[in-house]
Amino acid sequence: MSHENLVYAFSLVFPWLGCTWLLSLVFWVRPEGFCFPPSFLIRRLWLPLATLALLLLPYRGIALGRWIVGCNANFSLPLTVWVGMCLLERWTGRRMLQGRRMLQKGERVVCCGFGVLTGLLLYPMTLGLTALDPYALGWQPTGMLVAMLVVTCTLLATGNRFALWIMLAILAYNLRLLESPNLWDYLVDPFYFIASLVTGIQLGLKRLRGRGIAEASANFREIPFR
Amino acid sequence: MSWPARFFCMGVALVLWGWAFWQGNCAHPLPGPKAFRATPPVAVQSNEPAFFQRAFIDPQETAAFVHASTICELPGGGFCAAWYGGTREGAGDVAISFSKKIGEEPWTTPRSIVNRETARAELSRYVRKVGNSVIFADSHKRLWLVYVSIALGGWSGSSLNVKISEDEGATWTASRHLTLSPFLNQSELVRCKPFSITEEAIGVPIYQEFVRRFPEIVWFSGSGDAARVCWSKQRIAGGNSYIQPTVVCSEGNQLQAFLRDCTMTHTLAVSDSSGDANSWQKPRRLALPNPGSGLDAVSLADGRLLMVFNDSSKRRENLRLAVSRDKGQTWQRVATLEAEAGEDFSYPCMIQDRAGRIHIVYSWKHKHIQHVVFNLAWLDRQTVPDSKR
Repeated sequence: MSHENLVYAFSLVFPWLGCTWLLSLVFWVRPEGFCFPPSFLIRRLWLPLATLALLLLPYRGIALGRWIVGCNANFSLPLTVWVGMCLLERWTGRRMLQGRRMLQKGERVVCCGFGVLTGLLLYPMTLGLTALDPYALGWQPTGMLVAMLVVTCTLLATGNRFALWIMLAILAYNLRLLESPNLWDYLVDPFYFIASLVTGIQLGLKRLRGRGIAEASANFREIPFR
Repeated sequence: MSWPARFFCMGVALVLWGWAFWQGNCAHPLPGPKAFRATPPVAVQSNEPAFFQRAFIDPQETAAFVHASTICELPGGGFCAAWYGGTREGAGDVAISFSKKIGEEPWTTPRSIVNRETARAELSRYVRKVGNSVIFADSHKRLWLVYVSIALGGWSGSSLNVKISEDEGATWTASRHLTLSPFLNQSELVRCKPFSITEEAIGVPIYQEFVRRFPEIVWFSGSGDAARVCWSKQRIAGGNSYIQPTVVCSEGNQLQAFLRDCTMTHTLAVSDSSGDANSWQKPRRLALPNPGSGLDAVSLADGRLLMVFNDSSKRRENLRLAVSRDKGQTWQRVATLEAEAGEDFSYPCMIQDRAGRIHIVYSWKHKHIQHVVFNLAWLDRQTVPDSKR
C-alpha cells in the first residue's frame, strides 16, 4: 500500500467512526435492549458495516466520506480516539469494560483540558490576533515535541491514560497519516476544541452541582431535629 | 495503570519521540527561511536599443472574464503564463488557462489545465470553484502551479493546491492539497510570484482572508521528486490591514514585502525582513496610493526597485511604473502603461528574464491578458511627472 493510499484510507476513519456514532444515537437507542436485527453479532456489526458501505458510495464521482474530508481533511488523533471510544462504549454497552468508562474522570478532565488549552493557544493567534503564529512551531516541531514528551511522561507517571492518546498522535505524525505535515494538526482540531469546551463545561457544572448537593445534604444534617 | 505498564509506555514513548525527532531533522527536513539564501539579480550587459512591445496573450476572447495572470520564464527558454477565466469571477465554470511563448513565435492558443471538475477528481473532494494561480520554475527545471480552490463560501473559504510539470507544461501531475491553516484549512490565497529560487527553498507569498487579513509566505522544497512536496509557512505580519505581498530580494540577503492595502488608508505598505529572513518588521506606509488592488515589484541589478501598480486611491483605471533608488523609501513614477477612465487594468505580475528584459502581464479590462515587455534602456528613457497622477 503506497503512502498516498494509506493517507486516503486514514482520511475515511474519522468520518466512518463519527457517522457510525451519530447513526448509533438513532438506531442504537438501547444497546442492551431490543435492536434490529436481533442476532448478537449482526446487531453490533451491521451499523458500522452499513456506514462504511455508505461512505464508500460515490456521489458525483467522489466517495461520500470524502465529502466530509472536503470540509476538514485533518481530524486530530485525540478526537478520532475519543469518538472511537464513545462508539466502543456504546457498542459494548460497557460490558467488556466491567461497567467502567474507558477514561476515568481525571483522565476525561485532562482530555478536555488539553483540547481547550491547545485550542485557545492556537486558534486566536493563528487567525491573526497577533503577529506571532504558533502554528509555525508545528512545521519543524523540535520544541513542541520536547513539550509533548514532558506532558506525556508526566501523565504516564501519574497513571493518566490520556498519555496513550498523545502517543497515538505522535505515531500518526511519524507515519504522516494526515494530509498535513504540521504536528498541531495531529494534536488538535476545531471540533476537538469545541467538544472539549462543551464537555469541560458539563463536567464543571456537574461538579458544582455535586458540591451543591453535598453542601445541601451537609446543611440538612446540621439542622437540629425538632 | 500499574507501574510496569507505566514504565513500558514510557519506553515506547521514547522510541516514538526519537523517531519523530529523526523524521523532522534528518529524514524529511522541511524547507523554511533557515535554508534561504538570497539570490540578487544578475547584471546583464546589453547594448540593445530601447525596446517596448505589448500584445494580448489571448487575442481571441476566451472567456467573458479573465483575471489574475502570472508569468514565468521557462527553464529551456521562452515563457509561459497562466490565468483564470470564466463567465465571471468565482463562477463555477472558471478554469485556469495556460499558454507558452517560444522565441519570436506568438503565444500558443490557451488551454485549460485545471477546472473544478478536474480539481475535484484529482483532489478527491468537493471543489466548488478555482481561482488565482501562480506559476514558477524551480532549479530542477520543473514548473510549479500553485492555485486556489474553494469548497465552501467565497474567497475566505479557499485553500491552495500544487501541480508540477516536468515537461514545461505539456503534462501535469495530479493536484496536491496543501494544509496551511489549522482552522479547517480555510482562506489561504496566492497571487504574487515566488522569490529567490534556490535549490533548498522557494518562497511563495500568500495571504489569509478568513477572520483577519494578513500576509504570509509558504516555503516549498525545490529538491526531491515531484511526488513529494514539502512545505512550511511563515507570517509576514498579523493584524487586519495587508494582503497580497510581493517579495523582492536585494543585496545583503534582505527581503522586502510590498503589501496591498485593505484599510481605508488606501496607501501601499512595505515590511522589511531581518537579514536571515526569519522575522519581519512591522509594515510601514509608503507615499504611493493603492485602491485595494494588487501590485508587483522586481529588484534590478543596479540596486533599483521597479514597481507596477494602480496609481490611484480609488480605481484601477491606470497602471504605472515607479522606480526607487533607496530600497523602497521614496519612489519616482517613470511610465504609464495604461490609463483609461472607468476601465480596469489590474493584478500585474512582473518578472525580469535572463536577458534582462522586464515582462509584465495583467488583466486588460477583464477581457484579455496583456503582455508587456521592455528593456532597461527603454525604462531609463521614461519619466512621468507626478502631476500626471
